[in-house]
Amino acid sequence: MNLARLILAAVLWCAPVAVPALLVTAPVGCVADGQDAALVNAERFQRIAIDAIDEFLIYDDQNAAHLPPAIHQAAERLRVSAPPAIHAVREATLAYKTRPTLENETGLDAALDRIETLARLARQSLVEAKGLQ
Amino acid sequence: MSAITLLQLALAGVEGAVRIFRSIQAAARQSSALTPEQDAAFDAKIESILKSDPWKTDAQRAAEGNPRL
Repeated sequence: MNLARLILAAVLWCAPVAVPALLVTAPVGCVADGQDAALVNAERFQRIAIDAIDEFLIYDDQNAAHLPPAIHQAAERLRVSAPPAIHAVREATLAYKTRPTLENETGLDAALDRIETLARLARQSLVEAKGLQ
Repeated sequence: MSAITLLQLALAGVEGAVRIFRSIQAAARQSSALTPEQDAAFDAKIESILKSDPWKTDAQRAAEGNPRL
């Protein structure tokens, strides 16, 4: 009786925490069997990076009049440098997908590094901009 | 409520949690490289984003007669 109550209490007590935690954490880093982890992670990262840049540029677009010039200038730099970097990473991804050679993997890594730098700038600028509002 | 009923409820709870966890694992296994169709859709989405107003420079917006306020 006590054991059963204990088990039931443990299940009911843990469920509200455990289930959302599993939902949030379980898919991260999972790559299907037979899939190229470098490619899967590269594609995931591209989505995240583009979303980060997009979020900052939208914020700047909506608040440009109230933001410090340095923040808006960072957005302007991204508007110039991000599109070619994004095109380059997509081309590098497709090249690696077509021919997964070491050379193409190196090219993909370099393109990802570039877009990561831009995404980091966007994230930092967004945090700074929101902190000033 | 009898001990057996409580135990059955507890087991059902554990079974439910296991089922949820397995469904999450199954969803995670779907994480794979994009298919050519998904690639095309992703590229189209990117192009749409890149052409949106927030991605245009001040000079581009001014040239279009749609300056950033």
